[in-house]
Amino acid sequence: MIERKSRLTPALNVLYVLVILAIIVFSVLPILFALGSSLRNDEEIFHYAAPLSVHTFIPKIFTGEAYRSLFSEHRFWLPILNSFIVTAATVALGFFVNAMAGYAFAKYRFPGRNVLFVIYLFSFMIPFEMIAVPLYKTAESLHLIDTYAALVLPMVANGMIVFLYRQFFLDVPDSLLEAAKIDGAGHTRTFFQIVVPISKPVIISAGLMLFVKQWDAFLWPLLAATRRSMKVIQVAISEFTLEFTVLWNVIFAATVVAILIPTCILLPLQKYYIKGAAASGIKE
Amino acid sequence: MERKDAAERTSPAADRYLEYRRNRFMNQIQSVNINYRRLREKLVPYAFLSSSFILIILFKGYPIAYSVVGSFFRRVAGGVNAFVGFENYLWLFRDPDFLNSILMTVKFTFIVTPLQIVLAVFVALLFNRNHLFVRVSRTIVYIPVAINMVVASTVWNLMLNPSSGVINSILNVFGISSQPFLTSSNQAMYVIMLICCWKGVAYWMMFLLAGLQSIDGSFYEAGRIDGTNFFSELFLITLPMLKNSLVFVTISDTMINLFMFVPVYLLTGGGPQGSTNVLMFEAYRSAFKYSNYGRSYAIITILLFISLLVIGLQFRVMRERGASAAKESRNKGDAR
Repeated sequence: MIERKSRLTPALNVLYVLVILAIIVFSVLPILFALGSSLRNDEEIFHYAAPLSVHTFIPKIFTGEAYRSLFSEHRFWLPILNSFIVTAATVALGFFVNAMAGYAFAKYRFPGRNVLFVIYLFSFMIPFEMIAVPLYKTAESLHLIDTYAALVLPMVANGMIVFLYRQFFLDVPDSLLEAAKIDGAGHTRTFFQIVVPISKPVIISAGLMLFVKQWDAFLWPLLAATRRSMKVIQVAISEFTLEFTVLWNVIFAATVVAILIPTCILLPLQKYYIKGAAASGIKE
Repeated sequence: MERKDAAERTSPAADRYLEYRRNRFMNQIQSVNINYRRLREKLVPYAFLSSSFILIILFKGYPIAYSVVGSFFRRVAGGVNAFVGFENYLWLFRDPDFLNSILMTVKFTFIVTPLQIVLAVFVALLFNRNHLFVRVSRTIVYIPVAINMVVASTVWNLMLNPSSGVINSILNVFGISSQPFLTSSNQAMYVIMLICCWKGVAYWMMFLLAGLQSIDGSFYEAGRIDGTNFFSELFLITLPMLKNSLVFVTISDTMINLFMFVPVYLLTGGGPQGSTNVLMFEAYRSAFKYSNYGRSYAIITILLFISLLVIGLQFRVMRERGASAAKESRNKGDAR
């Protein structure tokens, strides 16, 4: 890679840096703009939009008014709390359900294995949005509408996560499992006391992927949780856009909070997330 | 005690017989036990699979079946569902709203997917270097990945506001007059494409970069000895080696774009004049705005059919890929 760099002429190098800077600006501008606008007060928010000046991006008076209003008047902590409950439950249940399935596919031969595996792969290729309408009817007949279970249960079993676990468990040596068996450990015990402790990287990757999926879920929570107290963060933000169209600083504050929470969780664990995403996609 | 005495008093022949009976009985017990254990061993993998299987059938399989079956029914007077055969489909294909939404879905998918992938490859190539500046900028460019469509749509919506949005202010500086963006039937679809690209390019770049970094550097060295330039290196080494990742990214991206919903729901509501009314939104509207579930299920079944085609294509490409990989390794073996 280093040799390739040396082949660029100085002019090309400058161009290269400029292109990268342009990409960075395009990626970050909306976020910085949201951050800047969220720190404005009600009067300032439309005042400096045009013509373009420094104050279009940087508030004249910094104020946390919008955040205060967001959390007190609009009770934004409630959807955040709901999102946390739903996401934590999904990640925890998802670990048991998907890891066990991945283990079965990786370490056992049994009749119907290939058929089942194709069903699992197929299930994750059908996106959630597509079946949201009939899923609503299903949840309705199970009396799940407006419960946490409705938000959690459909998201728990995920063919892609099963696949990710399977790929990891395939590399666990059989001799280790046999040693456990000779020592008298049963199947469940072998799995939870031998296999799980050495699988920390894949558990983190899979957990993060489920976390992102559930945290970002929108259409299903929109349909399944209609009661105000059950709203998750994405649905709450969508309501700001659709109902409080003029409270720009409050809307921006809500988006900043919605960006900060997953970023704080993802950034230190970015390595695992990318590894998981890459492993589930590329290793066929 | 008494029993033992009795046993002691029996003749040797009776003793042998008793011994024989005892052994047979123990063997029977053991074989039942072994059969039971063997059965249990056989059931172990199914037990491991049971929870996920139940959840997948209940929340994926059943709804799919429900919508396929439901597409043949229609709610008639008195709130009863009546079997109507293909009537829902026949109505759909005479409905200009539906035909328009097919057109819009095709337009969106076939413009935005190639655009995202070409841009993602380009950006991934730019960032495929191990230099501090590049590594830091890479982390920054990944930020949109952590931002979901609801937040992205919300922020871009306010920035693209025709009267007081910042994008128009920036355009004005360059002497371009203010644009109507989402309020114009000519521009709304392209604005949604822009929002999807903002997040999508960073997301798919992540996969492509992982693919790029797994390419062995020796290929480039060998190429350099043969005198490659930038373009021959790109088309003869990088892209062929990236094929696996590219296939995966293309198919997944196509699927996601086929079901694009959030920006339409939040920003345009299918308008202006149906210019952003994609199939997924039409299905949502049929069910939850007009309570016409039969129509909604028919649209979903059509979408299901389209996605089956895409998935089938993926399996086919993957199989070909597997076959060609096998061939390659065989050739390698021959060379040795």
